[in-house]
Amino acid sequence: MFILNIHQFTCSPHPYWLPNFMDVFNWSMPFISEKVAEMLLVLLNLCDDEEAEKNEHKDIINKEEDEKKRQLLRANVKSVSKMRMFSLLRQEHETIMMIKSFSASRKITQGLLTEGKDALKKALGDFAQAHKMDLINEKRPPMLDRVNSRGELFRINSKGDSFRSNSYADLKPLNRPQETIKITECSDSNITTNNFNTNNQTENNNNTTNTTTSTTTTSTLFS
Amino acid sequence: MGVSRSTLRTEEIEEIREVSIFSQREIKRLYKRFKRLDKEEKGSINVEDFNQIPELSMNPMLPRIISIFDVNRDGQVNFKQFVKSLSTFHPKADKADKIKILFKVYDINNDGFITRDEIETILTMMVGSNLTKEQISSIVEETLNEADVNGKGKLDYPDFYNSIGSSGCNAENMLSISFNPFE
Repeated sequence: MFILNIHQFTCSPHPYWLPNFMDVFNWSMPFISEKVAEMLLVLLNLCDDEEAEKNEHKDIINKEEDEKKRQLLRANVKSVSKMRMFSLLRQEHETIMMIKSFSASRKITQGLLTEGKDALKKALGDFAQAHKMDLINEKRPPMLDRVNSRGELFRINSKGDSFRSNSYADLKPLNRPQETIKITECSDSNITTNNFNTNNQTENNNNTTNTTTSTTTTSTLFS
Repeated sequence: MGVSRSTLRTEEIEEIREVSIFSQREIKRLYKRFKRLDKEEKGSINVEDFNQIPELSMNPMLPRIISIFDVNRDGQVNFKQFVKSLSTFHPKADKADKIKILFKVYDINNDGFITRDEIETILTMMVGSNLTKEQISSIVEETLNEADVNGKGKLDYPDFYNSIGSSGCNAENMLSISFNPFE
């Protein structure tokens, strides 16, 4: 007869062992030593007089270094500002030259460069507008001849003075050919013409002489 | 006692020298440190003052280490106790004194015996949540079985000394702080 052997197994947890089967005291002694030493070092270093003095000295050095850093930063800011101005001068060179040509002192308005590119263009616009408005004053002044109601001719000389003249020869184109013909025919006419020119010069001096001379001239022309 | 002074008198220095290894110059220097810790100028340090130091408040063993200095268990540490405890950490100190320091760390209620609960408390303080309670109990059980020769269920100082000494652990190198800056 066959007999079955039945075995039943139960598992139990393996007990926990410290490394190398150490006991608690030996295993924990390094940790305790470390913590105790750590605490004592903190206590003894907490109030070291020499370290306190070093710290104070260190603070002083830090203050001086802060001041130096502040000055260095200020210098950096200034140099960057100058670089910005110089780049603006380079880029807007043409605009600046035009502004300089317009102004009397040949200089840019103070502070204009720091305001930037837009301010330069605006200033240029102002100058151009003023130039355009003033352009009419640069032309030649017009000549002004006037004839009053009596038919008498008043002329203005280079000095701006007004004087009366009865000579229509210079104004009427029909008279010019006649004068030409007379000069060709007679030598006496040439002399007369010369007198006429002289009379014109005399007219520039005073009015009385003008009246006398004018009468003579009229007779000659009519005869 | 209680009167605050800037320096120790010669008699006090001699008295402290008898109970410690430090020299006169070292004692003077230690007294200067002690005065810095004594914020209330009354000749002793409150145990609570240690907790206010940031570097110390993170030390998990801080309560047990403070108990090393507080011999009277009254919450105050005077200069004599301070120096006497510090001298134990001197490299020249006796090995037995160092083992006594360890014994004090485990003996929470200062009754001269280390019980099972005290060992478990110290272990939990050290390992935190790294080990389960069952594992700690197992370790403590093994340790007590090995060290408890008479079957008292707790350890006295001779049992502790034999347990430390028999394992060949080098106690001189541990629990020692170099006081070279003083020399």
